[in-house]
Amino acid sequence: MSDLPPPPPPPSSTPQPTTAVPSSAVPTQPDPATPPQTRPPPPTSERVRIAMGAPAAPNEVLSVQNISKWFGDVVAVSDVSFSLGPGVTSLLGPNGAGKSTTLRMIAGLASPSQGAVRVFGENPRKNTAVRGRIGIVPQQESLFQEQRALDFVTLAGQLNGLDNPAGKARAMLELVELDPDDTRSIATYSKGMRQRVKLAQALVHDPELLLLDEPLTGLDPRQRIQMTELIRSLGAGGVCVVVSSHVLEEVERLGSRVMVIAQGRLAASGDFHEIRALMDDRPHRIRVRTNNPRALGAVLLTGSGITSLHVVDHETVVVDTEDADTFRRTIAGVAKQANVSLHGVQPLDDDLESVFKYLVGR
Amino acid sequence: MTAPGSAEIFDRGYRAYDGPRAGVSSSMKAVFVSTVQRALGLRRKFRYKIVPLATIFIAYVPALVFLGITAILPSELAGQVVEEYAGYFELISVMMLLLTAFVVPEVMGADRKTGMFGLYMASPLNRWHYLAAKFVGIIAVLSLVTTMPSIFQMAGYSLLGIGPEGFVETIKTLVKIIASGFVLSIFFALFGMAASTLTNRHLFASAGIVMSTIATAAFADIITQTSDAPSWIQLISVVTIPLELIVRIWGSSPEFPQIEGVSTLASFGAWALACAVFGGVILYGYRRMEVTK
Repeated sequence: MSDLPPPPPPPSSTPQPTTAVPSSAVPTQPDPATPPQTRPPPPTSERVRIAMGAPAAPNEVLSVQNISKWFGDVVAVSDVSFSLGPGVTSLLGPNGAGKSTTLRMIAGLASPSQGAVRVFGENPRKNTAVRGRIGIVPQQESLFQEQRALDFVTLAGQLNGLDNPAGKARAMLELVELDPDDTRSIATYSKGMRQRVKLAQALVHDPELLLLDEPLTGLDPRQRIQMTELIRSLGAGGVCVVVSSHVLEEVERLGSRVMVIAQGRLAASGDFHEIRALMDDRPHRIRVRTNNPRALGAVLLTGSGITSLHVVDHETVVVDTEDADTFRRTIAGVAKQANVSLHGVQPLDDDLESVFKYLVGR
Repeated sequence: MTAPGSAEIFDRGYRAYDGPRAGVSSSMKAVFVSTVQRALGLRRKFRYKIVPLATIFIAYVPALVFLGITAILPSELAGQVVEEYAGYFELISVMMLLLTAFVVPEVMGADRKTGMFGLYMASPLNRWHYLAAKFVGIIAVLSLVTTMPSIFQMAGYSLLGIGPEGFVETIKTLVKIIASGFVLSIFFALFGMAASTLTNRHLFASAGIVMSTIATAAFADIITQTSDAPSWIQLISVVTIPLELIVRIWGSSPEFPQIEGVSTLASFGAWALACAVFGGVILYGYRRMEVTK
């Protein structure tokens, strides 16, 4: 969903991450009051938002406006803004980046030191009815471990005022492939089973906003696939799902819509392919397979836009270019000019991992 | 036998809940039930039931003993050995303290330690709903020690013909028992909750409850016996505060005299002040509390 709001002006005390990318890369309207050449390039996150366009959509579920959170001298989250509607969005960042703190603020469990969170237009800290529309899977596993899974999930249903909490709890436990009649306590469960109990309690009241903090941790590969499918189907069914993770392959399977948080700041948000396309300060690395890499390389170097070129073996050349689109358009002609056969052109850093490394490593 | 062509694959996938949803009162009831269950060790392993159930049972022992004695004695002698209600509350104050020290940190600290507090706060409850439900749950459990044994005792005496005479006296006695039970339960519930607000550690909170009770009682005794300190100084003792008010409810007797120089209003004031201080600690602590799990 391209529903990110126009960026608010960043306060001077908490500047957004900046980038050396020229502002000409950004499709913005020039400000008549400011000469274009003296205008500093907007931060990456802003540029992505601008590129994704559009103010908040009418079906906006969640709106986070310039939230910051600090604990004493430690800034956990700094000036983060975004808004989301139905669908799955991954909150991606290394450990300690501020993902869990952000989720807690969205759920109303912690108050922002600065800024505001709105869920369905309401403050979840103050409007308890809104919290009944939120489901959360926390990261910790020590939740009432002496209880049976059915009792625990039933309690969650009771807390949310369901008519038949035990019945819904049974259905949810079956959905996550756990036996509702298991008499063992949660303490005896494996990590993956506990994770599924937490997911069941988050789903029991049919939330419209689902916050999942590292939900796939501890699951075996088959369960991961099943849970991923479940999360995707919930998103497709109209639930706004925010999944925090630091595991890139999990995030990639959940969809391409990501928000990257690094050092408490929102580094980028949107489709990660589009984010990569906007990262013009990083040359795009492309692998070209040909029958004569040296000949092709020689012709490529006579053109413009190539920053480096490396002949890897007798059939592969890796090219770094500032303009990947132009390169893709012209490579066939260049091959013809060099009188070589072209076997394949493959981007090497257009995946989430590269995007993540670039953003987090800034 | 299944008819040919009747095969069906059922969709076991996620299904949205479309039933009714109750309000905050339902959520508070869930917290209340969960609190009582956890306090009494219900739906938990046997070892968790031992302390609360043993404590509660012991609180009924004096009533059983007195009823047994009065049952076997001739009625003219039985009336002379009847235990006064005010005295019963003093007898069970140790059990009350033990139950408070065991139960309250268990139902308060464990939620924060395990992250359950966060899940409660992620439901349609706010902190004050949560605290109110916890408070009522703790009162309900403590009443099993404060109020119920005396009601049991009164019922037994009535059956033996040495209980309150007439309907009005019975109601009066019942009201006094309930009032006394609430004086003790409310005081100790707030005391335990305040101690549990200060630490997530069950052991620290339990030790704090017991040690502060013993220390304040010892301090008050030493001061009053070794100096010319005013008699109201005895109200420094945590356990004396509610027991003194209970003496006022039942009326002073030679066995259970009231503290000289302290009016009933002052006794109630001391109880209310202590409750307010404990309540303030709880509210301040939970208002500032961050959900970090």
